[in-house]
Amino acid sequence: MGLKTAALKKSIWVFHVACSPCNNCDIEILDLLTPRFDVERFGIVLVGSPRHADALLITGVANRHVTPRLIETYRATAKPCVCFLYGACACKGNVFKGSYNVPRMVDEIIREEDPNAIIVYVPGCPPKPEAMISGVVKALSAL
Amino acid sequence: MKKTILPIGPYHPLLEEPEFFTFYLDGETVVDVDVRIGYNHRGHEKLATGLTWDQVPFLVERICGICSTSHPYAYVLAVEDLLDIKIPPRGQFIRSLIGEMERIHSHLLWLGLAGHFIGYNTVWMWAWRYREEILDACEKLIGNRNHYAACRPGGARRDVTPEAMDFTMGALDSNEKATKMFLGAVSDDPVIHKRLKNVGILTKEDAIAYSALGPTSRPSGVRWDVRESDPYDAYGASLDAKAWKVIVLENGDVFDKAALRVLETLESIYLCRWLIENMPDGDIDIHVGNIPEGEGCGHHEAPRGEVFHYVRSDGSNKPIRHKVRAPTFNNLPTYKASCPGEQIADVALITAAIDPCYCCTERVGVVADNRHTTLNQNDLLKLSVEKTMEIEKKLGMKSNLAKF
Amino acid sequence: MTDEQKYMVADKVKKALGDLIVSIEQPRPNRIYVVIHQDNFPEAIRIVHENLGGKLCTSTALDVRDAVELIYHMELPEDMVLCNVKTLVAKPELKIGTCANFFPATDWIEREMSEMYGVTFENHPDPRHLLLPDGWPEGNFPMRGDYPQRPDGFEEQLPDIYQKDRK
Repeated sequence: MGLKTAALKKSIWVFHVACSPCNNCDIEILDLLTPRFDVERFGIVLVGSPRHADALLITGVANRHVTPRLIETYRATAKPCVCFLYGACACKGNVFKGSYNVPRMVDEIIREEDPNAIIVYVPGCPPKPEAMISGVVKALSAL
Repeated sequence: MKKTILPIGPYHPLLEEPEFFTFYLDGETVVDVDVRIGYNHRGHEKLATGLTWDQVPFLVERICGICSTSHPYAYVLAVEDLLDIKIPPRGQFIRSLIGEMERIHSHLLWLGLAGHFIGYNTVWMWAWRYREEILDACEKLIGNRNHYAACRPGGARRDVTPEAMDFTMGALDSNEKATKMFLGAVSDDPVIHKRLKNVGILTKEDAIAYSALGPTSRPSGVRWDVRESDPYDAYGASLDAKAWKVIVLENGDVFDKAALRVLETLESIYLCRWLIENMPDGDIDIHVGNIPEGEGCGHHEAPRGEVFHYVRSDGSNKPIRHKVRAPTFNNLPTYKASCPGEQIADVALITAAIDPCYCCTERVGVVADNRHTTLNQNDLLKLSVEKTMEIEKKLGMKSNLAKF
Repeated sequence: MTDEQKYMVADKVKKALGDLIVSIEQPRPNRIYVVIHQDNFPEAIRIVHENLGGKLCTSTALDVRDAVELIYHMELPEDMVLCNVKTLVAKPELKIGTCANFFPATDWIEREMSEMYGVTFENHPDPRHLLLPDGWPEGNFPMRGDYPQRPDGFEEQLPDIYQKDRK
């Protein structure tokens, strides 16, 4: 896809954006840093600012209050970036579809902001940490 | 007035959504606390009126992932209260067993994150490593690491096999050793004493006035534990058999809150062993037909406090009202009582000490005095770790903390 | 505590609340339901909290057609009984006195009930929105019976901070 996206293939730095999650996906993401799975040996680090990130790890549905903040975060991330939608809530809304406070899904919001966004779906409730690693590997090999 | 707004950046699950801690500082002291929540509001109560009675447990499980069985548990207790039925003993024991395994995993999770806040990352890695064994045991027992779906109105949803119970006993043994090691580490370390003792004290009167729950009020001397005051399922029998006890401490500071959680983990391990050894045979559930008109309340002691659900039925196949109240809702306003007068470097610890499950509630803004600055979670973490390094220097200890 | 002892708790509640009670029943040993008139309601909650040692579990509001029913669930831990204190707040005025000035635990839950059902708690110290997002249109109470699950035409009513992000 080009030199910039080829540079994403190794040792990506990830910024975790929690929209309105139930926190289960978030603790599975933190589990990735703990001794059993230990993704830091691949060079994957959780960073503190979207401007340093190669990938966004988005969990949870986007409720009305969070939507403008999510859009700001996406704009702040340096392009090209990969958006991993981790969990059934981020992918397609899970059980919260139809709530008065959840009008749009995360991938609609991101596509509206940037039609060329690279979006990767990792379904599950919650996806096991092995699923996350597998999703990252598949996505980066496909780039 | 200088105003700095930092970008969104939740770093870990304790403080999830976009956090703007708004501080007005008078030197280094906090003057008042204000909380703004709403980032996690997804509309469960309205959604529940559109689902049938047996679909609701799957919805409420997703209120919170850490206390994931507490909400369905309280909901099915409310429905069984409405129907006034008793479920078979094996179902009761299975539900209580999963509730206690969740308590162990949740307290170990908190312990790891509390260590991370002070700057002791090794505590984080070790606590979460031992927690993985509990999650493996849950997966063998009931099918999933986290969203267990163990409860349904009328009993338990799945049976447990003897092999799974043997595996669980092994996991409990190794966790008991690890928890005793953590207890020794927490009570002996002079740096932890200096950081946590007499910080963020919640007095007994304040705990009662705010109706604080669980490990937020029990360290202040308030003996409120639903498993004891309104026994349900296997808890009545286990208390009579003296398999475990309720822990109450006195000072109400962050040290007591940490010690209480470690002691409660040990009590849960003893209770899980008793439940597995005394697991009765028989059915795990009874058939529940139509739900007649009426109302019911159910409450369960989750790792963070009491979870309360209320249901109202008009005889149809959907609840007309389902009220959910998670324990952090009662515990968050206690910041107004425990934060003022404390230093800003301690605020991170005090906010973490109530173990907020922000998916039930949200974001804190602390108002102090003149200068208006907005700090995010990383800044608070940095301040907290710097304070630990200063204390280590004063005590003449070599700093073991990684460069932050 | 045996079931007989729990049934005696209703007498204790009757003595404490006296003639504020409209009706009281105890369908199961550990559940008491007391109905109070809306004018005496804060006083009744104060008596249950201070004299009987009640802790507030939470409070529920629900929409019965011509009124909003409020239930404050107070647990009496030493007596091992859950005492639910109910009242009906008449529509369309929907005004009732607040308990937040003497009982801080009711502060947040009253804010939530007022934004979800439109009940006004008089003299509440902090009547802001609790859970609903900034810019939620006034007069829209999501938990009312006539509010749809998925409201149409809602997006146009939202203020600019949501609209401007969609170019």
